[in-house]
Amino acid sequence: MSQDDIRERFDLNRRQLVQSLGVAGVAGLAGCAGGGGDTTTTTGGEEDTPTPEDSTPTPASADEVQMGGELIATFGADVANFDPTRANDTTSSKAFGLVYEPLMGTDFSGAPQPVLDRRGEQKDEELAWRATLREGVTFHNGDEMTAEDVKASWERYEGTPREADVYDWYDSSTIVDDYTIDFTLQNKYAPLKFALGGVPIVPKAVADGDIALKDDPIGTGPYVFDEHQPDTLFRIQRNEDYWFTGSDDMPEMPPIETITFRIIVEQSAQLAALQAGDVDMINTVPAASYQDLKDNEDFTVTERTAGGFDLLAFPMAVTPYDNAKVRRGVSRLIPRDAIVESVYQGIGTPATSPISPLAGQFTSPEFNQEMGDKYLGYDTEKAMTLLEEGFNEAGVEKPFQTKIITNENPQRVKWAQLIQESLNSTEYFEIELEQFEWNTYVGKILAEDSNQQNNLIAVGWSAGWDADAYIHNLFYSETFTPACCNIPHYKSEEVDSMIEQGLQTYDLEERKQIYQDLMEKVCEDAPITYIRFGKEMDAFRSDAVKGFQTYPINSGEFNGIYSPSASAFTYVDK
Amino acid sequence: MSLQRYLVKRLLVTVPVLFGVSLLTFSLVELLPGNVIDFILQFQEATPELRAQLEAQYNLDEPVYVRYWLWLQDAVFFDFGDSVISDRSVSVALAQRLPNTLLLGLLGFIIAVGIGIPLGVISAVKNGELTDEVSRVAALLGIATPNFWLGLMLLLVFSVQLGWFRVIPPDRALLSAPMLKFTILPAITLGTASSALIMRLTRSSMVEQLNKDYVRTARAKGLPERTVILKHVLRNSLISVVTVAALQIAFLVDGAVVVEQVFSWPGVGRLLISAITQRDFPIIQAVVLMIATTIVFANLLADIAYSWLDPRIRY
Repeated sequence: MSQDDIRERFDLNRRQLVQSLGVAGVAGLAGCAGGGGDTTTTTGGEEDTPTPEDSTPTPASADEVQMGGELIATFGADVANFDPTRANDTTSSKAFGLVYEPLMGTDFSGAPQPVLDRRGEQKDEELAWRATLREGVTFHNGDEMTAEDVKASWERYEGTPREADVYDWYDSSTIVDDYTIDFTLQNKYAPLKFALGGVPIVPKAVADGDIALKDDPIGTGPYVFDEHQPDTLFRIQRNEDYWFTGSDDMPEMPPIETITFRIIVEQSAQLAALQAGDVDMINTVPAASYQDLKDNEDFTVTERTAGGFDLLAFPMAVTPYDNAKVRRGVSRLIPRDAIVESVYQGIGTPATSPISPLAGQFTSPEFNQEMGDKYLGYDTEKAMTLLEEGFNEAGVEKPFQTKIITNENPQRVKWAQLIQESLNSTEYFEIELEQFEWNTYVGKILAEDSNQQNNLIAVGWSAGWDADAYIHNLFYSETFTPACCNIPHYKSEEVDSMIEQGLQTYDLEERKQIYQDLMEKVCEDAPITYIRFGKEMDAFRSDAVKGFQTYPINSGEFNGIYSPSASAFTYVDK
Repeated sequence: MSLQRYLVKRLLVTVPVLFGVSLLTFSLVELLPGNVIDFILQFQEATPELRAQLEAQYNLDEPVYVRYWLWLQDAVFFDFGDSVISDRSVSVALAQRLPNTLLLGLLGFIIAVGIGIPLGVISAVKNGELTDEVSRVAALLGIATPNFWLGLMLLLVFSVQLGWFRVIPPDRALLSAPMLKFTILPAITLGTASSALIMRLTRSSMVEQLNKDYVRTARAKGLPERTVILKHVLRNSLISVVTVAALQIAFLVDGAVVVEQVFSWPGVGRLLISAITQRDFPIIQAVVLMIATTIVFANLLADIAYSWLDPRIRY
């Protein structure tokens, strides 16, 4: 397969990087997990996904649920756009996550689950798939959902800013009958089920131009859009005609009648609103208040390891950063434990490999530790040896003058300072730190010559459940900046080939091995090094909110409010 | 020249000023780093066809002067096009936020003037006494305290600890009692720095006037001290205060960004900030033009106030 073929299929997703810089962005995968009745039907062998250990409260029990009431939660930004083909920010995805539903969703352990597609099965050929739709599902405008709506929902992405969400994998589709649609992929695509989860199904009338989603979001989800007051609130009401018929552990209808999301930009104001009782739940917990909130029994903090990491990228065209020993030497001087403790108040875990433990099918905390021990973890003795050898091989005089650059994210600046201090304490480096306004920064790090400037680049990366999202755009040789995010311009035929294989291998065990080999190779070569895996967190009033669990993917943060496919629901008691 | 003629002349002058401002705004937005299409796509890689289509949609494929001309034609009718991020009408977005900002600005101004001028007068009359010293220190603190910090402190004390106010605006109509009650803290936050400024200015200006001959004459002819201070001295002192106060109107209306963030107030400032970070150029242009208009009209107001305060001033 030619490189061009591969490239065409891949979503060169710079949003992941931009999002990590602290601006509006979206996690492309698993954006809209919703409900699903046949929750026992799991496909693709992913059902044994290990769940990352985190503190989450006991899920609500269907026996004690209280129906009705209003939940007042928060968004950290306004909802920009209700149309999924136009919305590029996580807040919008969170807002319509309970209004729209996709064919497939992803549960809290990362297993794809059927939502509107009853089975989510593969046909006999590798590129041919069949979706068997639930019958009797109606949109919020009363129309029944059929295969025509699914086809129209996919094809309306063409020529929109979110085109890649569908056209990275979709080739064509044929409507078999009202509830069956066959579709063909352009190429084998292992993360397909996650990709399906990012494409909400909307009425065909939207594609025909008869409904404008930007004003009137209409889906099949458990909640119906009620009102949006810009910069003030976004309100949804329970869908009284929701298709789910209930199960032993799930009520047939969302318990909470009204959900009002108040838009509060300031983290400290969110916290104050929670403490004053103006809201029941907040979606950003300031690190400085994390422990206080946890210690206070009036509040519950839920947290999950998130899909993403902070990183430091090396400009590999600059000597001595063209030497892997120097890169690993620098990595071994990064005090990750101290960073997690002092900068993030203990929230998160040190990262020494590129895939978050969230994607537990592909990695584990032990594997991360192993990569740290072997290649990248903090070890000043090994660092000195590596740097001595590296500097000699590169023929560079010490101290080498260089810079760490970052945007104005306060926490990122702090950890960059700790790295600066650590490197400056050796005889090898004289490092300065430089901060940029984010627009300028994005331009700088995605510039064609990002690998030629004498700058160590401090940035973050966000991904999700699938391994490819952590690896592809950072290490593939076709994704050099400015096309995407291979900032060091790292090129390895072996890695390229493994990335391609990883995308096309459907067998989970085989795929896991590919990504572990791949991770080992990029840890050894160290074009970038990793700092910390973050966490998603929510905090709520313990007496008022019951059963809520934090979803680890930011764009699906409120899936825990009601998601039959994930057997999750929340109720209020106040 | 009579005041009426002067006003007509001033109003006519505002036309080229606003035209210049619009040209400047448009050019500055052009000069912002980053390609608008990248922001619309949120830096997602896109085919050249898609980029071209988006450029055509927002007239970005036209030369700058053509785009300016197209924009200006609509802008004179208050049609600023659609946001490139939300696809919604910019005029509607502005109209939704403007009443909120005006209300907060007005309350902030009332606090600024209502505290600033009386304190300035007292301070000047009690020149050198303890009251004066305390007022001056308080004014210095008021100027030095960052809005952001003051707002958060007020929230923590009066909303979280004492529970007297809500942290976020109630879901009520703008002029309803709960909403007006809510605006007290943001208005204090907003008005504090301005009131301190106005206080210091009133004080210094009055101290200067108090040493003038006409004051001695007024006192000598037996006018009560109250009349001397409030009718003669204050009125003469206010000329310079009015200039600053008028500009403070513009500042309070347009400079409420930080306060709007802290108190989750859905005003124009927040709209502008999010538009700038997302390079939502139709909104940036409209809001900056609006701010410029406020400043122009605040100056006009100051000029009118001059002639009312000092009948000798004629244009």
